[in-house]
Amino acid sequence: MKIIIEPLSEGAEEEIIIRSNSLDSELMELIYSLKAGRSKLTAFNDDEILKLAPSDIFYFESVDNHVCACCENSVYEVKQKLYELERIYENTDFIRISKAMIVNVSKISKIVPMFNGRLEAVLSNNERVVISRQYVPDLKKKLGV
Amino acid sequence: MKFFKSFLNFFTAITTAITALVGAVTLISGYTGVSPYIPLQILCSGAVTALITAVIYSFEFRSRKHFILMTAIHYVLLCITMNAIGIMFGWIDAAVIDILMMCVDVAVVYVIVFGITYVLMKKEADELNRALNERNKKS
Repeated sequence: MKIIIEPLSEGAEEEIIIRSNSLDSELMELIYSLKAGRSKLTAFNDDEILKLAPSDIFYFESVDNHVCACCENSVYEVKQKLYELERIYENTDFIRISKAMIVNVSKISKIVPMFNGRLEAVLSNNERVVISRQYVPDLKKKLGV
Repeated sequence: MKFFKSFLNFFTAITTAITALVGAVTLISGYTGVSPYIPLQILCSGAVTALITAVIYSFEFRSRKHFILMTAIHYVLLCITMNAIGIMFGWIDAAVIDILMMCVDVAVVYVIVFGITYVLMKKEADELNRALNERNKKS
């Protein structure tokens, strides 16, 4: 597939044009991931309502029926359920790593083994999150291992 | 099925570690009166402790603190179980020194089993880190 990036004239809106004879599943996935990867998520913090870019989110965590979007130094509540977020960000950098967590793979700086047969992801803000064994195959698939 | 697989893995590892420990202790102490029931007793203790381990590790560890807490609970449960099994099978007397020695033995088996697991997991983590680095370089 040929990718052409053209400079924009000032004030013009960014656009992506796909030229194809058929919209196959691969192309649909690409379109879907482009849309999900760029669309901002509404988040809440006390009285504040703001839009979060997916690239700013380190991970989503479900705690006591509330779902939080955790960024580098701040935590926001989001209204979507974890399974909904998993579906929205299916073809992006986000991946489920435990029953209660979806992590942004691009924020993982390294993966370290724990003493109990589990893996732990060290994020770029030095936070550590536990990867459940059952989600390791998905992570491997995502990383192309 | 997942639980059964986990149980079998722990059963194999724990039974091997207990056998190795019993073998080493018998060899060092020069004790020759080993009971013919010992292999069955080791299998039995391996099965009970593997069941406890599989149950404990079926829980998801949300954080490092949670992991440390569960590991401590796991170790205490194993010590209680192994002391009960030890007294029942006549491996130890119900004396403080014997109970403490059994706790040390449990710690040794613990280190052997989870040390081996750690080494295996390290290989898997290295593989994932290589892929992660390649991905980060590309983006």
